[in-house]
Amino acid sequence: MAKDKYDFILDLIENKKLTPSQREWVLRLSVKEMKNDGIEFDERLRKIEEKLRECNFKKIEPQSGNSKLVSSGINTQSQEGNPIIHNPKKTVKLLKYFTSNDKNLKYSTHSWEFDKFSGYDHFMESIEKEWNEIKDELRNQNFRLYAKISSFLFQKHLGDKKDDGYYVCWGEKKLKFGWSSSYLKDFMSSGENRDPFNCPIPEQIRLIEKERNLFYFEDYVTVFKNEIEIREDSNALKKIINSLWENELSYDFQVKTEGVEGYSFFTDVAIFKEVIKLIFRNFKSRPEFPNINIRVEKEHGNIILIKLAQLESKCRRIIDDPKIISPDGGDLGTIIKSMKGLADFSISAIFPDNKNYRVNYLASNNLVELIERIEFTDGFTYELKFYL
Amino acid sequence: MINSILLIEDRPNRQRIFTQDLKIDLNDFPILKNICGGDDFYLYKEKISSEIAFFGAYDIIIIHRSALTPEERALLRDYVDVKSKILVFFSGGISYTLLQKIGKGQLLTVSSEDFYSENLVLFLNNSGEEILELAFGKFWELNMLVGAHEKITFYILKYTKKPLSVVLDDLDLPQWIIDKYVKMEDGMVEKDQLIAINKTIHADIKKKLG
Repeated sequence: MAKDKYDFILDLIENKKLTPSQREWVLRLSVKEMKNDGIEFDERLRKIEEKLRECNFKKIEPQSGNSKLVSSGINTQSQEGNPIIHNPKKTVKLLKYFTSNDKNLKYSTHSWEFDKFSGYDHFMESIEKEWNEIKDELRNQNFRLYAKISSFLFQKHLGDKKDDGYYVCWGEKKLKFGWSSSYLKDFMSSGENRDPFNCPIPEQIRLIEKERNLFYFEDYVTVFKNEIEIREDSNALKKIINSLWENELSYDFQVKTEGVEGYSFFTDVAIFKEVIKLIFRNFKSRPEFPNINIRVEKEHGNIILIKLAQLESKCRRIIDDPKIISPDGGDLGTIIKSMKGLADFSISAIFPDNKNYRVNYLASNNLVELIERIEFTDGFTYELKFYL
Repeated sequence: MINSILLIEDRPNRQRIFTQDLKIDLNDFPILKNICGGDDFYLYKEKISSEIAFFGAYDIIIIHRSALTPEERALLRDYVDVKSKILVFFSGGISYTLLQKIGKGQLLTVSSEDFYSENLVLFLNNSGEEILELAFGKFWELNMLVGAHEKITFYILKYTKKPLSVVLDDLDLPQWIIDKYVKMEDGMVEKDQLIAINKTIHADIKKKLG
């Protein structure tokens, strides 16, 4: 290929008006053309690939001492080659209705203050009004989380058998008693100053979930609270890690944890567990790297960052591989779908070009680039950012 | 005596009812700074975000969990981790007592009912020197040994070999019991090792019961 053609291709690739996919197309045509040009092919292709990557991802060299992104672009969800911009902070804001002193929904998980509600009906009306204000937003944020909360609060048929043979239930444990169960309503009207949390669970429900050892409504409320928040008072994060270590990863792997105790954050705990399970399965598929490090850090901006690293392992795919930069399916695709509206999600690793990159799939900040160069990784690392 | 224990409560009525039952006034304990509702509550709460070093004067910080935002809880958690302090969260929504090591510090989570109990009186009368008195009462040592013995007994029934760190997390044993009875290196734990530990604990329980 003549030198002017080569320069022309470089000019095209550097042209800011081209989209990433157009640049990709130019590269493919160039490869075809250069195959006819003999010995300089590899060197020229390498140079063009380098240019292409610079243009597509606006590579920025890491700052000394940290691997923080320095970004100059503005991304939106609709633009190709960018992270999906979502809003997990909004989910947290909605879940805080269950703890804020000025919200009635708080009292679906906390004991009622004296004279706060005149009775069960008053309480249910109050929370329904509040729920109606937020339910559409929550449904858009994360449907499973919305459905769980909605059923716990307002499903009147919990414990009934459906046509398909399954029971109407809520949550990960498929529980069959909630705020709108008729037994609770009857209990509340059966005497003065009844405390809903002391309502005994009716025999027919206890029989179908006897393995759960839940005897009072308070026990169901405790389960619910632990399904919408990783709580420090039950050391939930450590317990999830240990349980999945035993049941998914196996003790052929060594799992070290740092800083996992004492933090709490809102999320859909069942979905969170499923994601950790998928991550552990991926670790397990590479038994030659048996050391796993899980570190939890509180970052500025009220962020709890959970990093799960398979020490010394590298990414086997190149950075521009579609399975890395735009994973539609597979485990990465599933994690992205699961964490949408709940947590920012990235991976970081050393890639076959011996450079370290972070790939940001889900981001709250629209200044975050899809790919950033970073200085260092411990190994292939999954990063989940939860907001407080 | 200098206040070295700080109690922050946002519900004065609750404290009043509980302390009436106990026949005490928490403001009578020189070791305790009792911030109960009112403007002081907001002042102290605000310090968590604006000036965490403000809490440097206290060795033990006790606070109603639900009065805090998750951000404030995380700030306090990180503070006790670095400054080797003890943080106590009490709440009506906490189901059981748990004492955890948080870096250089400790975190005790306890229900409001268990917090405002004779254990608190005992703890304050003894100058707040033993957090286990607040958590488990006068006979904390015996209580905890019996609890550990029961846990290990049930654990052994379904036990399959696991790493020591997992065994310790599963059992949630307090640090002093780990230090005293679990004298082994990190690695996989055999069932026989757990049986031996349980026998030693059993023997000590018998000794304590005379």
